[in-house]
Amino acid sequence: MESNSMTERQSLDIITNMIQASKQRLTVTNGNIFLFWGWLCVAVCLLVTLLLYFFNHPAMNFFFFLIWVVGGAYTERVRRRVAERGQVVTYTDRLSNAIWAMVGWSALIATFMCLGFFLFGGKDVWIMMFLFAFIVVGIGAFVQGTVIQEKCMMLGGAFSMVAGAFITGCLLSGIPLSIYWVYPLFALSFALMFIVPGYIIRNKALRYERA
Amino acid sequence: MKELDPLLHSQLRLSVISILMNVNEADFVYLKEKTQATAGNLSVQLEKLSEANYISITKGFVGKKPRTICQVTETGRQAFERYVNDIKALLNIK
Repeated sequence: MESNSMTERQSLDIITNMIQASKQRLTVTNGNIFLFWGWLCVAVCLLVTLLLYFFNHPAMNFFFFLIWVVGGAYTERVRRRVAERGQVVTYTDRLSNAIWAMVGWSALIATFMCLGFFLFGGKDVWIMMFLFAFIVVGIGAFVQGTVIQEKCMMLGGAFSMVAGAFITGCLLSGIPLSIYWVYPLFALSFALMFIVPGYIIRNKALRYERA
Repeated sequence: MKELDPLLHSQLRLSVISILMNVNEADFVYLKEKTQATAGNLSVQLEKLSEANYISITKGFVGKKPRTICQVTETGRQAFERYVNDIKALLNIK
């Protein structure tokens, strides 16, 4: 494939073909990573709600750490699997990676911060993680939705941010937060941010593959 | 008549640059698959593009496997745009 004797028309054809060949990857994602994180957060939230209902002990909230353990392990596995195949990073990928790296790292730092406060007697400090999940993850989902032009994800992110603002308002007004509405709201937000858009993106990717 | 950039006026090198213009970065395996070139030929052409500072090559490892990542540089981007404009001029495409 090394020749200088090609015509100008052939050059244009090569450029067009190569752009077309690499365009397939620009469909961004098949949605599986969003589905995984969405289902994981919803499942863990429901598990914690059930455990709190049956055992009525605040320590059950520590099961939320399952999100970190399972999610972190899965994401690392996916990253390695992708890296082993021929890999291409698009501008959209770079932006998406930056968004979730920002959300992930700040969540990790916030978790350690909460742990520190908790060890020094701040029993209710973990509520901050809920606000974080609603607002910061909501912003992440909104920006991600904008990047991949998925309105459903933008709406999910916006819903989560509004839910976060509402809970902040309740906290500041002294309205008691109950697991019977805060946790289902958490699950609903993650379903709207990741599960619903995840299925939409997956269907689009499947349609694109078939076409 | 304007002469086309000889470094880009080659099927494989033009293919590589076209792909890299469309994505942020691509690794050797991906480029080999999309251009359907042999590993040896692709290596040689990547080296030529790198020597001209049209692309940057980063070598690393994924686990124990070596991995070569290519990215188009600003020089390469400008050269490609110039090349496309020259072709358009030659073909009288506006």
